[in-house]
Amino acid sequence: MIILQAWKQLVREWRSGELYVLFFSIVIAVAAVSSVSFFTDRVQRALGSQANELLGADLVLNGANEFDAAYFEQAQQLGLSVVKQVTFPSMVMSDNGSHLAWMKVVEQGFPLRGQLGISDGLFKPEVKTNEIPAAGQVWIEPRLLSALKLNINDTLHIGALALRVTALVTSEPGRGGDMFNIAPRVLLNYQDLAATQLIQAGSRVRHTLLIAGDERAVATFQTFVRKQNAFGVSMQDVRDARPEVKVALSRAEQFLGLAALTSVILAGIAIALAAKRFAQRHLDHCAILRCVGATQSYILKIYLWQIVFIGLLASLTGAAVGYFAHELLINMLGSLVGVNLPGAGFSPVIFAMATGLVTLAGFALPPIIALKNVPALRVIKRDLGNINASRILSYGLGIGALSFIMIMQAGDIKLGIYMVAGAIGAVVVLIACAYLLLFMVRQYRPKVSSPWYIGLRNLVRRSNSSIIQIVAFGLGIMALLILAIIRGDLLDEWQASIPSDAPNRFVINISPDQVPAMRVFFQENVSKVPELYPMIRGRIIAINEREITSDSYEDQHAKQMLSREFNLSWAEALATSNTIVEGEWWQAKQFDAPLASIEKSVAENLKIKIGDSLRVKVAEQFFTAKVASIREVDWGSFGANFYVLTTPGLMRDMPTTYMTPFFLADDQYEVLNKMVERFNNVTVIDVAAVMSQVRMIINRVTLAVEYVFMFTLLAGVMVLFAGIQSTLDERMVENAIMKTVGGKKKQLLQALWAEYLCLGALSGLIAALLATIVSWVIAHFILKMPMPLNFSIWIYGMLGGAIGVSIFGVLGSAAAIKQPPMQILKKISLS
Amino acid sequence: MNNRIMLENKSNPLLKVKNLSKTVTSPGGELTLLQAMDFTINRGESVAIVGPSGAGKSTLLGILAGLDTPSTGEVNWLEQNIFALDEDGRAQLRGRMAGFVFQSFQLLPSLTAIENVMLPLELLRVDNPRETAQEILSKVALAERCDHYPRQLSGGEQQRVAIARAFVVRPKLLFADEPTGNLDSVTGGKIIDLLFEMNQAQNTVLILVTHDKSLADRCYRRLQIDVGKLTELVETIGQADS
Repeated sequence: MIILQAWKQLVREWRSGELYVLFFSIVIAVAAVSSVSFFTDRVQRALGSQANELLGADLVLNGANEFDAAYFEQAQQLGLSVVKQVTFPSMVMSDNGSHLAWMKVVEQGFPLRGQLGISDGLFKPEVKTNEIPAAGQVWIEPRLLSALKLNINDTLHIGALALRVTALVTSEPGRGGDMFNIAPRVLLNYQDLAATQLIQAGSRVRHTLLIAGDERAVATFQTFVRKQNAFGVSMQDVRDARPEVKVALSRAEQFLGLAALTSVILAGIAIALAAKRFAQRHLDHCAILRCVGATQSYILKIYLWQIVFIGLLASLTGAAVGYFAHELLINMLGSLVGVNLPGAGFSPVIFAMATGLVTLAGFALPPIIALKNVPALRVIKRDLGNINASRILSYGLGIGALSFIMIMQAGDIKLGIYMVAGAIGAVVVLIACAYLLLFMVRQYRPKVSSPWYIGLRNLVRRSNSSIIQIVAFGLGIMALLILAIIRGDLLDEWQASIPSDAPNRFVINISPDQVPAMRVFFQENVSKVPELYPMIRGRIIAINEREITSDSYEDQHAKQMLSREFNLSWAEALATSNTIVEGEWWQAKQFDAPLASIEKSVAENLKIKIGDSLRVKVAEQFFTAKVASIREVDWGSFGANFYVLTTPGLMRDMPTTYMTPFFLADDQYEVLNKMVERFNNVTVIDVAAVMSQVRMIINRVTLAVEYVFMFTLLAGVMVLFAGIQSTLDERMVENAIMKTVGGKKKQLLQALWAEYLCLGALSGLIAALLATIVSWVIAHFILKMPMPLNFSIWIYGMLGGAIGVSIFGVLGSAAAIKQPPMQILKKISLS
Repeated sequence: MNNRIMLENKSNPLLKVKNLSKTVTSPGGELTLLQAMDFTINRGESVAIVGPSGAGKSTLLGILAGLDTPSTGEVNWLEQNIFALDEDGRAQLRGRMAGFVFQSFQLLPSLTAIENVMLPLELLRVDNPRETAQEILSKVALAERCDHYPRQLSGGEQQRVAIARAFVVRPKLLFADEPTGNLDSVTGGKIIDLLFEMNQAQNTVLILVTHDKSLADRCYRRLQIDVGKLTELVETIGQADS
């Protein structure tokens, strides 16, 4: 019954036009948030699935034993594609000799993501294929062809089987995880596995399942695997496999989250302002209802239902508008978006609607709960029962609600919390500055009153409204400026972090005696001579004399780290892509001391602290080192990075090979020919694919942020509109009275300009200051990248604020000046 | 007791005021708005509360209508002390028994004329509110303007809507605060005529605050207030004899 009455009243109010401002504020706010979320969500998922091409699957399971039927049944139920793969080392033979090779036996369908690249001769052009070697055939890595002096179509003996070499593998999804495997690759068909007779009990074999399909199904499957908790089974996705991609993807998510957050802030301000106006305009409504017999609980219920109705309807409309707007833009951008974006998900709708509903409830409920206390006597004495809206506390609910939404929307709790703290800090600073401005204007008493002075006095007279306007404009401009900083400086910085001549190849397996010759080779053949790094394969076997294996840890990452050898190195100086976060790097006099430096994630996963002693096994030798420092490594740098570094003296005599990252332009392919000819034991690893993946991620994100910027600007204009509307009623009355006592239109207009110029310039200036601080904090602590100081933001902020706010303000309030005073005064007597 | 003037008519009391006073605390100390007063108003009577600005007329009207609370004393509507009820109880009682007409009309700007009149009926959950509202709007000669918003009506028309809204629940008591204050004398005169016509037709008690001597003269009784004191009571010829 009461629902029906609330609905009826709402329909009546709608017809009268009273609800338009509130309704459209929510619609535009929700549309901005939803369109931004739709877009960022889809780009983000596209990035993820593209990156999965590097892995060859969406998810990889590794185990020491064959996977039992339960895994296949579960995958089938979930509609996932599964391909089996077995890898193991084995000697392979040709008529010219034998060589250790790394077998990869795969089923038809491999890889599930991306494509194999093959060629039909050394350094012939690469062809992409969806096939795998037919039964009876093998595809091998080029250097095995050189090492065994084979030709295409020659025979290769693997175990008990003779197979024909029909192609060379030039690129292979899934190679990422173990790119430093020294032995060259041999790819053969699963059907041939049994006939090789190589798999015996006790063989060192890794069984792998490649999984791909719908992301929710993959996530369900992951949960299933975790529940199985099978011995020795580990899971891997692309983030585990490629640190560069992991860094790029999480940074991409942060950028997109940040961009979406700015639209939430703007939406929140606009809805808050409109909700406040809604409550203010319903004061009389409440008093009259009380007068004609409505109880407090009736009034409360009626308004609660109305809020629910408006919120739901406007949010739904907004989500629909947002959906179509983002579709339209994707169509307009067309090929620029490049990849086939996955279908729109439902989560943006929920987020956007929650933004609308929660913000509306948070900001509209406190004044509406206060509305029920409006005394009926207000019908006689109008000054009774005004809602004092400047009290921050009464908006605690709204601020809390909006903060919650922001943290959820950020997708990264730390980022969300930083932004919320930034926004709340900004509100406090803005309020303080607003008070300071009002105080200063109060002190200013010129001898002759000018329209400027009248304008400034107006600010003081409506001090509560002025403070709210400064906060709303300031916060809005701040959000836009943060986005501008991200769009300009921070994205540029990210792009610049991978220069065009960043290393795109690694040469590994250089023997110590080849090092001088290799240096000369580089000097003769490439423009930028790279540094050669020692590389030692080893395992940590004990911490503080307590033995550890992969079973000592619950954590998946720790298990993975201990399940295989990883790369160690020794160094005299710290590489530029490394930063010491704890402890100290060794000095020259300590070069022979048994000290180690550990990468931060290894230290965290294996729970290693400064001062711990580590026992490391390298081939059949052992050494013990004390942890002297913990390093943060910029994995996005495409340099030579190592989990464990030691002093030179400690590992100099261990079995060492050398490696180096270097840059090779596309047209310098013959340099690789020469290198393999001269140093036939080395392996060249092409990371250009990974690099182009990272570049692609950066470009997509840049585009997405551009897009978001357009929408956020629109939301900014709405904040401006709502902010101006918020004082329109008061202004109408004031201007009518000023006119009746002889104020000229020109004077009033000048006063209006003065007022809004001052509001806009002040909000813009403080916003620029705050945006610089918040962006710097986010760049430094979350994106972990430097932020160049850009003072043009200050000029944009102040000028943009002054010009934007004053033009919109004067245009939006012009009606208050143009209308004949009698009309307005009559209106007041009505309301 | 000198200043306390009793108005007693035991025959048919509808509104009874006992020992009513109102004081407020102001920065300058305690301020007495209304001094102790007792009086009774009977069915069918019309009463004008008159006095200079700031005398406490509106305060008295607010308390009599249960919109405000007194510091001491009782106001009984049909033997029910309205201040024994809580705020919501009074609101419900008002919905059933009282109607209001104000100087500033107090129509809801977002509702049309007929919707404004329907409002109290809807709160009382009366059947067919639209027909009833339509009927009473015809009585105040606004049948043609039912779907107009207040901003589309003249001041006199708005006050007629307000009167229709006040009488639509067939109230026993009608409170009016300067009902002609915002109207020119010709329109004001017509509104007064309408108010008294409805008052007679429904046998309602009419209590109004006014500065308008001609309006006060048309009332059956007059309560004069000076600085919170009920100093003079004049029984006029009133509309009862006219």
